Amino acid sequence: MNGTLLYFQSTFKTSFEEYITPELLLNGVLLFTSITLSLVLFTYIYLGLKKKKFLVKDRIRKNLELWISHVILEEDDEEVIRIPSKFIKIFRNPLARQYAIDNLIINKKAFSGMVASNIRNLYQHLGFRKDSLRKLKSRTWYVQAKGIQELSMMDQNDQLIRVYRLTNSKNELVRTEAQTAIIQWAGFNGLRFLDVVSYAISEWQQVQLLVQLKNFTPQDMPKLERWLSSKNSTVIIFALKLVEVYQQFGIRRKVEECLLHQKEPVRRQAINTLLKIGDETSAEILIRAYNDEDYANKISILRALAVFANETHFPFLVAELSNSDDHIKLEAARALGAIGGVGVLDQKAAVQPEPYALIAKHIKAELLL
Amino acid sequence: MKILIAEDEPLILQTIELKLKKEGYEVIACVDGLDALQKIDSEKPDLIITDIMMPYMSGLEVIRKVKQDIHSKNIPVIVLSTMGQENIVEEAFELGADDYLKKPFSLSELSIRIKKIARQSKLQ
Repeated sequence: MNGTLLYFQSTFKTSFEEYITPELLLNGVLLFTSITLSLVLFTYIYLGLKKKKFLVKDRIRKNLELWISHVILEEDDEEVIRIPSKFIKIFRNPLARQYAIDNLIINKKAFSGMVASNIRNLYQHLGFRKDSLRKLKSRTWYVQAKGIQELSMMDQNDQLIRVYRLTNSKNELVRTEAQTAIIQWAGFNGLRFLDVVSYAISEWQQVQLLVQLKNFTPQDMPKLERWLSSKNSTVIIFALKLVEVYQQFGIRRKVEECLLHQKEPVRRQAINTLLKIGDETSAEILIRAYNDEDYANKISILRALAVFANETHFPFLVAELSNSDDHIKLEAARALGAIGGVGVLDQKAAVQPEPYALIAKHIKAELLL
Repeated sequence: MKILIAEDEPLILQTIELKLKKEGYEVIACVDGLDALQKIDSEKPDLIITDIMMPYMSGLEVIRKVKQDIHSKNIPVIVLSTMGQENIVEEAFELGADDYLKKPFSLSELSIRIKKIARQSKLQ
């Protein structure tokens, strides 16, 4: 035991002395100590700066909030806004300017009428518009996006052309902010960005734009047909949603053409749109498209048929009752039930009780509800 | 008339508070639902104006608790909502809310609604 210990001690001593000289060890200790000290110093300075920033923000908040509230509640819009001298100094601080802009935006989102108009005036009077325009010119995407958002919230409609150019920006955030701003300023006319946008419009952005459009009186959309032929499939999908929401029956034929589009999401949206604007003739077209469709679209077509198919379509639906997939069977039965084909279901159940008797019973119960 | 406002955005809260004070109302400002519930209990306001989305306790929860409490169930409630909260507003009405305003709203509109509710309360 002692022999082994001695062997290890001597081996370790030999290799330690061979590789690590006293000078090297001293240098190592010095390096490690200086790194540790640097880290401590860096953390101290970082926390100090953070605290200073917080204190400055807090002072700005205490000073500005009440003043802003007083100014925006001013009922005489002709009155000149007087900026107290202490604020002139505060507003030289970019942090204070941004804080004030952010707060004006928060209030602008909450209030309309005189208060909204006062907020806009204050934003311009304090020169914040220049800040936003500077951001708009920035090459940093998030700064540019922030600039667009500020100009849009503060109704700086004269920037429409400059912002319009950004509706097809390669950066997604810049692009979506620009599209939102254009709709905010121009309502339905703002949809002209659909002519130029080559990047995908996300599902979320489509929802946002539709919600935004609800604030405007519906207008004619003469370019809808053109958008339905766009090279950008997400433009077609969005246009189909516009057709659906604003009941554009006049271009039903064009919507039906979308059922033949090579991209599956376009075809699915076309089915959903036809569900809202289609008629019996659409049922024929859907049935023709049915066999080439994927599973999800087949289900959508059967649901659409429940709305506008008629007894001439019974044979197709009866054939689908024999489909090997239970979900398709049920949707076909549902469609039959919805268009007055319960008798056909009963006949099928009489010939083949398993599973059609149960399906017929289920559909009848649904119809009673 | 004593009005309690629950709104988590300090600047919006302050603007509404200032406006109502200018009109001569006594105002109790609360920054979240929990704060509101405690002050409703201690201050016994004549009207509650509440935002829907608030930290710690939502506006809906505040209405539910107010309307369940025998001491506060008759206090009228105005809900402040935002776009896309239509279903929640419906739920607020089912819980007993009396009126609602969708942001962005005009402060004069809010004043009209308050006066209308004050008149109705007097009639009752």
